[in-house]
Amino acid sequence: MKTRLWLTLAFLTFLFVLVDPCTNLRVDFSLETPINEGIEEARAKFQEAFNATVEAEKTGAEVSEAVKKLNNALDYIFQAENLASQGDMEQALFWTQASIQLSEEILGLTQELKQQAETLRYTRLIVYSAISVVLLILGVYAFFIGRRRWKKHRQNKFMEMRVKGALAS
Amino acid sequence: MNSNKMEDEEKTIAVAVLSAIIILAGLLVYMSLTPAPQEPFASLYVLDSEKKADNCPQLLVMGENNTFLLWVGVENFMGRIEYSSVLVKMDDGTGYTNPSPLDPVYRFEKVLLNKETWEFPITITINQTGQHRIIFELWLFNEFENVFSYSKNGWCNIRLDVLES
Repeated sequence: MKTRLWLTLAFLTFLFVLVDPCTNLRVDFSLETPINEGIEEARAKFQEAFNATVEAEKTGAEVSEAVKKLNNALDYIFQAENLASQGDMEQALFWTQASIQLSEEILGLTQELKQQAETLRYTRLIVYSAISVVLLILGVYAFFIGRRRWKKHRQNKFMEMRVKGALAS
Repeated sequence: MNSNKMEDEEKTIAVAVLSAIIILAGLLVYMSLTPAPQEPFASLYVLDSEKKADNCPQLLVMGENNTFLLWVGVENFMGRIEYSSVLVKMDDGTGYTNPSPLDPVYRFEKVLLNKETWEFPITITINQTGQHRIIFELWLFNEFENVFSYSKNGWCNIRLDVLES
């Protein structure tokens, strides 16, 4: 009976050790694997953010702010790699997470930049089209007004000449 | 009446010629102001510690000047942003280059804006006598394949002789 109690207690303790995340993190074996995976994940996220920035630039967006953030995310990855090679896994994990977070921020930013660029493009298109239509209307109007005035002017001149001719004769 | 007709014709011709001249002048101005499209390129260069091209170290003496500083520069004229990587490799001067199959000693990465130049210092120490070669390679990220691609014109090397003090 006592042995069974001890066994149950030991089993429960073992389960607790498995469940507690802090205990898991303290084990070297389970730390090394997440840090390498973390750096890989950070690099993958960074590449995704870079690709999104390239796409945003293609739509005509101004991407200098996104590029600045990309370089920061890249610095964080290098920092994490250096710390991991020195054995400081906790700090390495911190920089990895910071890089992933920044890359996600860049993904959001590029979406905004893309939308802004598209809005600007449509606004430009509408403004230029409106200006063209107004200029066309003004041109047509000027043509008709000008022709009318020119005709009136010629008619007046003709009448003047006729009057002058009549007076001379 | 005939003279009026003549005047009208002359006016029409004058307007047509003037319009043609204005259109041609506009085209000429546009052509002169628009630069010819350039071939996209990215380049790599190496300078000495004073950022000059003609004074790179060639002969080193152990314990005296076997630690030295170089400046590496990358120019992006690809017409878009580029994710660039500079790999520094070292061998005895007999290995294959362009690109070298060796593992890099150093790796530097940066995302460059179009027309941006990136210059950074690198300190190198050589602790072995004999002939050495330092190879600098420029790799650009290919977003379609998610890998770095070797930039064929983006490499340079420095040959060094290291002597015992």
